[in-house]
Amino acid sequence: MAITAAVLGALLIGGVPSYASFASSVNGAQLRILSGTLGATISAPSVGTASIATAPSRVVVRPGTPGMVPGVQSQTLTYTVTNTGSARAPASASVRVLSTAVTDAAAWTAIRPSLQVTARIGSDPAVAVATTATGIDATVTSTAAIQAGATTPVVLTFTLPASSGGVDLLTALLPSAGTSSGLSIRSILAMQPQVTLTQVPVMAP
Amino acid sequence: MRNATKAVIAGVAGIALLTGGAGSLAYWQQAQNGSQVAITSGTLSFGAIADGTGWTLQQNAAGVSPAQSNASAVTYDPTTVKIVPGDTLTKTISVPVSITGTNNKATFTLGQLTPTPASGLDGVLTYATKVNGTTGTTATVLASGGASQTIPVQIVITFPWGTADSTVTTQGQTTSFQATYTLTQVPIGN
Repeated sequence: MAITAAVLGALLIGGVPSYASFASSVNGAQLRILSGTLGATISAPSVGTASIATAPSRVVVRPGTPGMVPGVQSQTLTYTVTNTGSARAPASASVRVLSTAVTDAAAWTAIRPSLQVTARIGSDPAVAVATTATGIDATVTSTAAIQAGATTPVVLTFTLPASSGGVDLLTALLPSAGTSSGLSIRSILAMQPQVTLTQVPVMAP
Repeated sequence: MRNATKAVIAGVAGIALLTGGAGSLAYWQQAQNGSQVAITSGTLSFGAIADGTGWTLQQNAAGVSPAQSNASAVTYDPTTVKIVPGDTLTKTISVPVSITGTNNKATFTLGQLTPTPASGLDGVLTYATKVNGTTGTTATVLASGGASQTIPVQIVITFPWGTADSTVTTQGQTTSFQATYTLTQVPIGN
């Protein structure tokens, strides 16, 4: 018995192996994930005109005459908004129609009571924009999606009617015979619109 | 013959017998080997896991407005496609498992390594998992289910839609996702 116990003791004390339950672990493949971007640019304006009505017989408006001619033509400022974001980031545009300064206070005071300003984003209907004594600060929003890399126009239109409150604005505002231009809003207000793009869902094809 | 002489002779003979050294006396002993019994240990391991490709991309995260519940799923190409808020990346993986041994039983656990490199997406992307069709990260594997089994695992990575945010911390980021798969034996009686 003593011999047997001693032999067993030798086997136990030997101590070379250790015993543990089974386990296995493996890492999967690494999946790379990139996130996109959303950005916007707004161009300098393209200045143009839009015909309102035929000039009265006493008035000759030569083709290409710039600026507002009361009752005859409006002045337009067209900005191009670009979605510079990555694919899968279409966005809708919101434009803050903003003037940063009144550069001709007398002219602004004279035309503001009669001035009509509208803003149009893309193919949306034009929206009336209010004016204040200090200029223009209004926001116009569109829900139309601008795809990544695509552009949309923002058109500001400045219009003076032929008369207002019984006053012939053509005569009152453009009294000089033979004047070669109408009234340019750019000589009266420093316009600096701001655009904000907001991501919209990628629509199912 | 005189008795004394006989005794001496017997004694001498006895001593001769005892000291002769030709034989020794011992209790009986016999040894024999029994039959050989083969002992084989079981196994617990994974096969090759194909989880690096085949992910799909869909913009159907909760809160996307307008809702995109029917948004098409497209194949996700990690070399070219950039995800945006509202996107979900989905993959269902058949994880091959080898388990043998009458009393072998294991817990399968799905985990995730810390995304690398650190990026503005850390803490933003969310992860949802199902193992064997049940929401969660674990499942029980029994050898009685077969030496070779597959465990279906679904992983959904979501870039939340959230609210409009003009900060750019989540834009133009690069990160990674890497799952971990573990089998740990548990007692058969558990």
